[in-house]
Amino acid sequence: MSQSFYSRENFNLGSKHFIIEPLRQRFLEQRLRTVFESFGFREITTPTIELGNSYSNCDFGNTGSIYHFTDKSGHVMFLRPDLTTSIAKLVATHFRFLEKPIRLYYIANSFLSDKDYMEREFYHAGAEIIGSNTREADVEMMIMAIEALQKIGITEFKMDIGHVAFWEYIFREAEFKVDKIITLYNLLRNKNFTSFIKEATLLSIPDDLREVINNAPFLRGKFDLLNSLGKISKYKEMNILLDSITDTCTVLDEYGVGDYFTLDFSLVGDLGYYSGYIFEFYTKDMGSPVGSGGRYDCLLGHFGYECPATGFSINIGKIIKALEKKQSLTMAGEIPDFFITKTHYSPKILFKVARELRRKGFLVEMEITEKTLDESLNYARKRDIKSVIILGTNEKNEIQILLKNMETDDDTIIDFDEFLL
Amino acid sequence: MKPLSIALPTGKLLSPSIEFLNAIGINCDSLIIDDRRRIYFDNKHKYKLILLDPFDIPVYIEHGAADLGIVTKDVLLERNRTVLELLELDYGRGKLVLARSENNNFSTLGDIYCYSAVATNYPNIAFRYFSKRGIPIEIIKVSPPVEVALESGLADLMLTCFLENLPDKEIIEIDEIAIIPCLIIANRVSFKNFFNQIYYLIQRMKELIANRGALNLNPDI
Repeated sequence: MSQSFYSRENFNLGSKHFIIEPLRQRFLEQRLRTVFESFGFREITTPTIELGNSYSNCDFGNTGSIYHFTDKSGHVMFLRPDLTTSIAKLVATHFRFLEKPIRLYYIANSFLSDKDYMEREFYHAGAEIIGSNTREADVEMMIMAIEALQKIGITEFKMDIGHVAFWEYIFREAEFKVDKIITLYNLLRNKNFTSFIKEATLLSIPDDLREVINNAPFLRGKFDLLNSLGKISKYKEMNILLDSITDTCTVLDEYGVGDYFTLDFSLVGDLGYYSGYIFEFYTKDMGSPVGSGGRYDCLLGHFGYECPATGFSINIGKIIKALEKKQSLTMAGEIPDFFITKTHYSPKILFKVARELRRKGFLVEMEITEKTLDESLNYARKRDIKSVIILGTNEKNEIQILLKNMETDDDTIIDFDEFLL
Repeated sequence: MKPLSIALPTGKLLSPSIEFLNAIGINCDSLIIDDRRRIYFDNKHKYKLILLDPFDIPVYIEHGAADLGIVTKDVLLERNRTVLELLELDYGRGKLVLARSENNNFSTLGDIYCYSAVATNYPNIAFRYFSKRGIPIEIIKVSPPVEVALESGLADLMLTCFLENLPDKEIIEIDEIAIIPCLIIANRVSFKNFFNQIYYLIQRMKELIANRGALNLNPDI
C-alpha cells in the first residue's frame, strides 16, 4: 500500500470521523430507546451488507447513490442505504407468520454515496409498524416521533404532514397520462415548482384543479387550508381523503401536539415507496429536515408478501448538529469530574486515589505524561475539567493531597480518606 | 426577528435583480456594487442581502445559509442541489446552446466523432447531454468566456449559456439545449419557517411580473 494513501491530503476523502460524536450519539440513543420501548417497540438490526438486487424493483429514488461492490464469488453486494427496505425484506421473508401488528425500532448506520463526504455514513433511529393500515398506526408513528424529539431535547421543531393520494387524485381527475404523471411526480419530488406548474397547466384541465396546481408550493396550513380546498371536494375520492385528513388533524389536536404540526400538500416524500400519509420534521437551525416518515403499503409486496406498514426515521447526525447550534447538548461523560496530577515525584498511591474516586462513581482522568505541573494544569484547563487533585509532599516528606478548584483557583489541602466520605 | 436572507448573483444579473427587489418594496439603497463587502441589510433590517458568485448560490441555499435566492436555471442544472424552485422571473432569461465555430463543418450532432472536444463551463450538463445521446466526446472544462476555446482551437464545440443572442457571428448554433429562466429559489426549511413572509413576497413578485406585461414565452420549453 502506498504511503500517500494515509497522508494528510487524503484526510477528507473517506466518510465521517467520529470523535466526540459516539458519546453524544449513545446519549441520544439511550433516550430514544426509552421512548420507543414505552410504546412497545422492539429493537431489530439488519445486515449492513446485503446481497444484490433488493432495491432494483422497489423504487428507492436514486439507486445510483447506493454503494455496490462484488464479493469473492462475483455476487453484487450493497451497503444498506436505509433500514426500512431491509426491515420490509426481513419481515416478508422471516417474520411473515408473526402475530400482527409488529412494532420494530432500529438505531443504526446507513450509507449513500451522493451525499457530501461527511454524510456518506449516517446514523439514524427509526421505527416501523408492520401489519396495520389504520389511522391509529399513522398517528402512533407521528406522536412517537414527536415524543422522541422532545425527549432528546429538541424543542423548536415542527412536523409537516402530507398525503401521497392528494396529487394522485388530482392527476386522475385531470386525466393526465401515465408518463406525464411520472414527470409531474419527479418535478414535485425535486421541488421544482415552476416547471411543475408550467408542465401541469399546459393541458386543458378544470379551473378548480388549475387553481390548486398553480398554488402548489403554498398548500400549507391547517383547518384553514382544508376549508380553502373545499372547492375540489366535489370529487368523491378527494372528499373522502380531505375528511380523513381533517379527522387525523383533530386526533392530533386532541392529543395535544396541535402546535407542532402543519399540513403541507406539496410534500410527496423523497423516497418512491411512500403510499399514504407522509411527514417530515424540521428545526429552525437546520437547513434540511432532521427526520421523515410515512406509510408504505406496497413495499413488502416487492418481497412477495402484501402487508401494510408505516414508519419514520430521525437522522441522529443532524440532531446532534442542531443541538450543538443551540449549545444545549450537556453531555454526561464528556468532561471528567477529576484530573489527577502530581508534583515532582511519582507517588505509588496515584492509581489508588484514582481507583477510590472511580469507585465512588466519578469520571477520573490521570496525568500519564512527563509534563510539569503547570503544563498539566494547563491541559486540565483546556479540557474544561473543574477539579484537579495534585499529589505531592510537604516539608516533612509526607504525602499531601491538594484539591484545586480550576474555576476559582482555590487550593485546599485535603485528607483523602475524609474527602471520600 | 431574524432577517430573511436573500442571495443575489454578482455579474450581469445583479443590477436587474436589485431593480426587481426595489420594485417589490425591498429597499436596496445600502448596496454598493463596487465595494468588497458582500452582506448588506435593507433600511428596516428585515432583509439581509448576500452577494454571491452565481454558482455558489445553490449550496448556500441548500444549507440554509441563505433563505431565498435569485439564480438562473443553468446553475441549478450544473450544481445538483436540493432547493425549492418557486417562481420564474421575467428578466435574465438566457439559453443553453451547443455551438461550433464557423470554420468547422459539424452541422448536426451526427457529425460529431469521438476525437472531438467540447469546451464548456458546465461539465455536468455536458456530460449528461452527450451521454444521453450516446455521443463519445472529450469534455474540457473552461471558465467563461467559452468562445475563446473555439477561437484558439482548444475545442471543436462549445456548450454554454448566453443571456442574449450569440455574441459573435463567427459562432454558429448547432443545438438549442434549453431556455434558461431566471428563478426565485428557497431553502426547503426556511420556506416553512418564513412561510408568511415568503408567500407575501412571491405574491408581490407575481403581481409585478403581471403588471410589467406578459412573458415572451418560448413554446419550445
